Amino acid sequence: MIKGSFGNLGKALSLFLALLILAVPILAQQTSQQQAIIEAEKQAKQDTNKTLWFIIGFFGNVLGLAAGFLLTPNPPATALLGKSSEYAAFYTETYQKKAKSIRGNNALYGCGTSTALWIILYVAVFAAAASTSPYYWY
Amino acid sequence: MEAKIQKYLLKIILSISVWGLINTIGIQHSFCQIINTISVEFTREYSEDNTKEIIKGKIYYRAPSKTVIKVENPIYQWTILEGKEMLIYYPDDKKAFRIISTWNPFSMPFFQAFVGVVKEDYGLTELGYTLANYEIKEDTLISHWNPPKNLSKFLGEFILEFKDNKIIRVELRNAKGKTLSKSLYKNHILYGATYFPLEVSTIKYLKSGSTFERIVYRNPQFNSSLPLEVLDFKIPADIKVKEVKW
Repeated sequence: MIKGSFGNLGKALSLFLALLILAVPILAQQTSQQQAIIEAEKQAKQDTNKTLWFIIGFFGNVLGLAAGFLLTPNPPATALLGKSSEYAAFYTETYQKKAKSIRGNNALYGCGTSTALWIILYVAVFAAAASTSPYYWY
Repeated sequence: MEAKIQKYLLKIILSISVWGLINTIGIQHSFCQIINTISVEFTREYSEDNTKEIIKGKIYYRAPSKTVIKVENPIYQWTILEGKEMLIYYPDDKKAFRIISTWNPFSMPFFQAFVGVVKEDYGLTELGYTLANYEIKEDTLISHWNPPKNLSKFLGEFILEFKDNKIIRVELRNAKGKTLSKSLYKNHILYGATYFPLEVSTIKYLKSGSTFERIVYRNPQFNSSLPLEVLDFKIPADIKVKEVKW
């Protein structure tokens, strides 16, 4: 019975070690991917001037908004130096998406703010004109 | 506008500049030197937060704008920078990426700090900087440069320090006078009339913290023949190159 228990324990241990050997490269790859995504998002945030894109959206309106979502800054060349191919792939993809997202969203906020201000101005002017007009508006 | 700012920041932070102010204040400095090729071994140590990475390899430069970096450790990788194209090749993985920039050409900042000394106009005037003032302390020349007017709201002064015609320190500040980055240059080697720094240490101050970079160069070769594998570098035909447009 004891011999049987040791045998089962041995089998379980062997299976565990086999799974561990198989899992290590998978886990390492996932770590590399995660690291690439984290670094790319961080770099994209550093490289993108939110205030500038808000202003572009504010004054550029639809064109500014389009530019925000379409244009992408260059990634730093050193970011990929000495990095694995998996890292490079995930980094470039994430950097593009994040930079465009930050730019586009801030341009959108600027564009939206500009539009809202125009509407307020229009309503104010219309109201002022209506209050001073000798005609009755029905 | 942002691309232009980035272009200025990149060149400013990473260029070494010696300017004709040396001539302005009467110090003789012969600077008519042409560098067509450079090959040099390098070790790059980079620290940020609690992480540290070390990269070793060799850099090959061919004027005016081609830089080839062969990384040997921790991974075997080729990076070719030429104009607005960056090519990255992994021979062991049989993978390659071609990144094409819409706006600015690619450059390897840390190597710019090494090769930048050969520029005739020394970088700053080309970027629109103007000499504000200078001082001489014993044998050290310290010059202060004002940024271009159109960028004066974003960039501050640029400070260069020279000792015995060798660049020893560079500091970049923002418009509010806060230091953005500082670089120290050591172990200079003379080629012709130019002193090239074989060790460059840079600290950058970011909103989230700071980064430290130390580059050590070894065995520099100037104007010598570059290896054929560098001159005629090509991705093997059976490798599919993934193209990324920015």
